[in-house]
Amino acid sequence: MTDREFTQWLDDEVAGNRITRLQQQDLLQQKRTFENQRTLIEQDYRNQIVGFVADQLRVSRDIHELISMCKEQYPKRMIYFEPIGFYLL
Amino acid sequence: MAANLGCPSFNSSDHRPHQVGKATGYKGGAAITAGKEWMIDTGAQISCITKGNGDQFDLTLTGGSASATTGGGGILLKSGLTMSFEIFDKAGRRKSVSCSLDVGVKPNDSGSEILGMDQLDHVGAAVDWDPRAQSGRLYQV
Repeated sequence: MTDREFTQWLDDEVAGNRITRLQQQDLLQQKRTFENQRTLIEQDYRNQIVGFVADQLRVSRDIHELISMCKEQYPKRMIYFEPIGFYLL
Repeated sequence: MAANLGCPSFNSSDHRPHQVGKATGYKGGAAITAGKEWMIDTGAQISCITKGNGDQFDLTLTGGSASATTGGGGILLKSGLTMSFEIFDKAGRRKSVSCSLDVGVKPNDSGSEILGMDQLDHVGAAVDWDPRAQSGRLYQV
């Protein structure tokens, strides 16, 4: 999914009142932070799930562990994540 | 041996394991229950529902990814949904179990409603499936 498609999807979610504009902006900001470090991330975190929350990098081998970690440290902040070198489904 | 998995009701030539269950949550403050046919996907680390299914409920966004699924598809992580399904307990009795882990929501309605390994792990269950017989079971371990 391209950046444009992802942004459009979030626009549709906001328009449908399923997410807030603030959540959209936060998630897109975390995605930008991820993209800025993509090369290093793909070198250093192969076969792990890398997320950004509040501009902080978090890494786990389990998606729910990553979510729990992020929610505990930054409640209500959005997490942008990608599995590196594999897919979640 | 009793089974609680079979081919999907809408396609008897699909050899992947499915089970009829339900999803519960809230919409506009009212409790909502929707019947669902889950596909049990041993390749899924996170359970995932279609957009249309997700839109039936008021779910809370947790995060998302533009590149988490095979083929480069994205998912949004959302909380507030409970998925219910059936397992056999250690005595061989049918037991309904529920799981409220965050789920992935797809950007469209293509594909199945996926019961992933995260939820089976969470309730302490395993899967046994014979694709030729199109029969199998989810059971407590």
